[in-house]
Amino acid sequence: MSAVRFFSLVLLWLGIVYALAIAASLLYRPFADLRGIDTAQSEKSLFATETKYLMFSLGRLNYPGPRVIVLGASNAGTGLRPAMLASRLGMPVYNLSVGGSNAHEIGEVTDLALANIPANSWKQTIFVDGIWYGQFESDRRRWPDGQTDIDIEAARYHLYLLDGPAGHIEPRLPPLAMDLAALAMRPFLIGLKLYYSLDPVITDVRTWVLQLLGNKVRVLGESDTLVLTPAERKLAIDDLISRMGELGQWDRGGFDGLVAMAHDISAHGARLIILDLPLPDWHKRAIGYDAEYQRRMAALKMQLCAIPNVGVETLDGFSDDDFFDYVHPRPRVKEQWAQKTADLVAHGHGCVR
Amino acid sequence: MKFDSFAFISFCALAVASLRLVKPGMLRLLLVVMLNFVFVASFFDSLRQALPLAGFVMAGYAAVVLSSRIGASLPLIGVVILIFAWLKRYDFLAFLPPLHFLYVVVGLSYILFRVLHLVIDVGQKAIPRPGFISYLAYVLFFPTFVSGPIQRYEDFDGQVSSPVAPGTTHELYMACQRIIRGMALIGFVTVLTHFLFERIQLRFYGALAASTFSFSTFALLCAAASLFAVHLYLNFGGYMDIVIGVGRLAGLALPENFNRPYLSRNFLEFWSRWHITLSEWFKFYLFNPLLRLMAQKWRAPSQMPYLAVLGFFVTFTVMGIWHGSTRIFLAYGLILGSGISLNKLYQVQMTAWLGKKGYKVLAGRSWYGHLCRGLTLAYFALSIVCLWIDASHAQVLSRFRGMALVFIAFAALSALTAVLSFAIERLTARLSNVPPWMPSLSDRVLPAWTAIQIFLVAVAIFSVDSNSPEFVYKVF
Repeated sequence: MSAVRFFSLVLLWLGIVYALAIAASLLYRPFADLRGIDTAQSEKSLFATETKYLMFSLGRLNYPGPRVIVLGASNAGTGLRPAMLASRLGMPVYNLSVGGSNAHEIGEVTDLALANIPANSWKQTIFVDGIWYGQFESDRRRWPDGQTDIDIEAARYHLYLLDGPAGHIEPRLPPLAMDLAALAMRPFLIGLKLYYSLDPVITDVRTWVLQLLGNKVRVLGESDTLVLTPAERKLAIDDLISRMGELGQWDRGGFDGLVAMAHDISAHGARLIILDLPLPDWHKRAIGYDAEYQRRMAALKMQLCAIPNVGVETLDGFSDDDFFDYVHPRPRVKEQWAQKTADLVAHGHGCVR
Repeated sequence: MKFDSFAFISFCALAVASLRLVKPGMLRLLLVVMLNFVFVASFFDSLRQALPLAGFVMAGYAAVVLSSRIGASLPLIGVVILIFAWLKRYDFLAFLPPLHFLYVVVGLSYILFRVLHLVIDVGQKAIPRPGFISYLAYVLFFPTFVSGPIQRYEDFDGQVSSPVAPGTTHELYMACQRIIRGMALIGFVTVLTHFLFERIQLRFYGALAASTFSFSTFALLCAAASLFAVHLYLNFGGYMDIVIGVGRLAGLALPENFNRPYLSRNFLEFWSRWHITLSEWFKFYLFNPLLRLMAQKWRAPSQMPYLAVLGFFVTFTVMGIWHGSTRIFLAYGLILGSGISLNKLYQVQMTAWLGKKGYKVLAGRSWYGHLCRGLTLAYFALSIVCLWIDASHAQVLSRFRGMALVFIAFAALSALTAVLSFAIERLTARLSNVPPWMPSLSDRVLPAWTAIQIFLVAVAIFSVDSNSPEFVYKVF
C-alpha cells in the first residue's frame, strides 16, 4: 500500500469514526444544551464546567431584541435565577456568572457577551453585575499564572482571540458558527464529562472514608435546612483570608476594572446595574473585608453613577438564616432575590442623578 | 509550536508530504532549510529575539570552515563554547556584559553539540566540510531542533541525499504508532503526572519551609523525586516518539534516545540507555579524548581503570553543568559525576576482589540485580531533584538535616524500587504465558486501526482539563 493510499484511508476512517462519535454523543441531551444560557446548569450539560459551557454557548446571544444578562460569581449565579427574573421582567434572562471569578474575568465575560449581541440590540440589553468583596481579589492572587479560566478555555479550543484587534478577548467565529463548533467538539467532551461525573462519586467515597476514620466531615450544598457549625464557619473565613490576603494587600485593580467595565458597557449603549449582593451578618462580623469593600465602593459610587446608563443598587433585607453557607442564598429565598432584583432593575434609584 | 498542538501536526503533515515529494538534491536541502526556518521562527515573537541564536549558528559555521583549514584546535572549540556559555548566561561568565534585550535560546544547547561535532570531525578530516545550505539543514533540522536526538552529520547527509523509500504499510503504521504514542504521552499522561508532581512539590516545599523534617517530609521527597523521574521519562520519551515518528515518515531514520532505562542494573548501564545520543556525544568528544590524554601521561596499564573512573567523573560533571547556568547544576554535575565514578570504582574493586568470573556470578544473581536496579534508579531520581528544586529550598536540603533526609530517602527508595523490580519481573514472567490480547492485524485493517487510535488520543487529550506541560528538556 502506498503512503498516499495509506494516509487517504486513515483520513477516510478518521472521518467515519468522527461522524459516528458525533452521532453517538447526540444520544446524551442532544438539544438541552442549545437553549438559553445558564452557567448554573453547566454541570448537567456535556460541557461540564461553567467556563467551557459559556465559551460554547455565547453564540446564542446573537438575535435582535431586549435581554438581561446576569454577571458575577457563584452567589450571583445561585441567587439570580434566569427563569424567576424573566417571568418578572418580561424578557429573556441569561446567567453568565462564573464561580470564583474576579472583576477581571467578569470583564472578559462582558466583552464576549457584547461581541455576540447584535449591535442594534446593545441599547436593549441590561447587564446585572452581582458583586461582593470576593470579586475584588487581585489578579495576582486569583490568577497567579496570568491566565483566567476564560483565557485557558479560549486558548484550548482556539475559538477566541485572547488579544483581539480591540485589545481584548474576541470570538474568532461568527456567533452562528459557535453552535456548529460545539457540535464538532461533542465527541471530545465526553471524556471530560465522564471525569466530572465521577467527581461527586469520588467526593462521596472520600467523605465516607473520612467519616469511617472518625472525622466529622460533611458535604455542603444548596439546602433550606443546613446550618453551618462554628467550625465550618471558621473554615470558610480562614479560606477567605487565605484567598483575599491582608486588607493592606488589596490593590485597586478590581475596582478600576469595574469602572472600566461600566464605561465599556455604557459606550456600547447598554445599561449596567451594579448590584451589591447580601452576605450573612456573622460573615461580615467575623472579618473586616466587607466593611473595607463597602468603604471603597462608597468612594467609587459617585464615579460609577456619573457614567451614563450605569446604576449602583443594593440587594438587602436578608437575615443569616437566608444563607446556607457564608455567601450563597437558600433555595427558598431565591424568589425574594428575583423579586427585589426585578424591582431594582425596573425602578432602581441607587444613583440619584 | 507545542508538540501536541494542531499547528505542529499540520506543519508536520505538510513537511512530511513535501519531503516525500521532492527528489534528493539542492532543492530538497533548500526545502529542509525552509521548513527549519518556519519551525524555528515559531519560537520567537520578534526577529530581534532570534538574533543571538542566528549569530551563534553563523559563528558555528565560521568555526567549521576554519577547522577545515587549520584543524580542530582547542582554542577554536573553546571560543564556540564560550559564545554558547555567554549567551546562556552561565554564572561563571557573569563578569562579561550581557546583551541588553530579551532573546530566546531554545535549541541552542543541541545546536552546540552539532556544531562541535562538525568542528571536531571536519577538523580531523573524518567527514567532509558541509556546504552552508547543508549546514543549516543539519544544525537547525526541525524535528531535532529543540532537544535532539543528536544525529551525526554523515547519517543525516546520507539520508537527506537519498530518495525516500516508499515504505511498507507496516512501516507507515509503525511510524504513526510512534507519533500517536508520543502525543498520548505528552498530551495526556504527562499532564496527569505533572499535575500530581506539582501538588506534591508544593507540599514538599511547605514542609521544607517549616523545617519540619518529619516522616511526611521524607515521604513527600520520595514521592516528588520518583514522580518527577517518571514524568521526565514519559515527557522526554513522548517527545522522542513524535520526533522519530515524524522523521520516519519523512524517510529519515533518527537515532533512538532511550532503551528502557528502567531496566538498568548500574549507573553506567543507565547512561547507555537514557538520553543515549547525549551520552554517546560526551563519550566521543570528551570521555574518549580525555582518557587518551590521561593514558598518554600515565602509561601504566594497571592504572587504566582508575583513569576511567576519573574520566567518568569529569565527563558526567560537565554533562550535569551543561543542563543549566546556575550553581545548582554544578551540584547536579558533581552528583552525577560522583555516582558514575563511584559505580565504576566499585566495579573495579569488586573485579579485583572476586575476580572477573566471581563478579560475573554475583552480578548474575537475581537478588543482586534487583538491588542494583533499586540503587541505580533511586540515585537517578534523587540526583534529578536538582532539575526541579528551587535555590532556596535546595539550600535547606543541603544542610545537615536535609542531607540526612536525602540519604534516608535514597535507602528507602532503593529498597522500594528493588522490591518493585522483583515483583514486576515475577508478574511479567507469569504474563508471558498469556496470549496477546490483540491478534496481529492485516495490512488492510491498519489504516482503520490507526484512525481509531488517533481519535481516541484526541479524546484523551481533550479530556484532561488543563494544557499540556512544557517539554522539560526545552529549557536545557
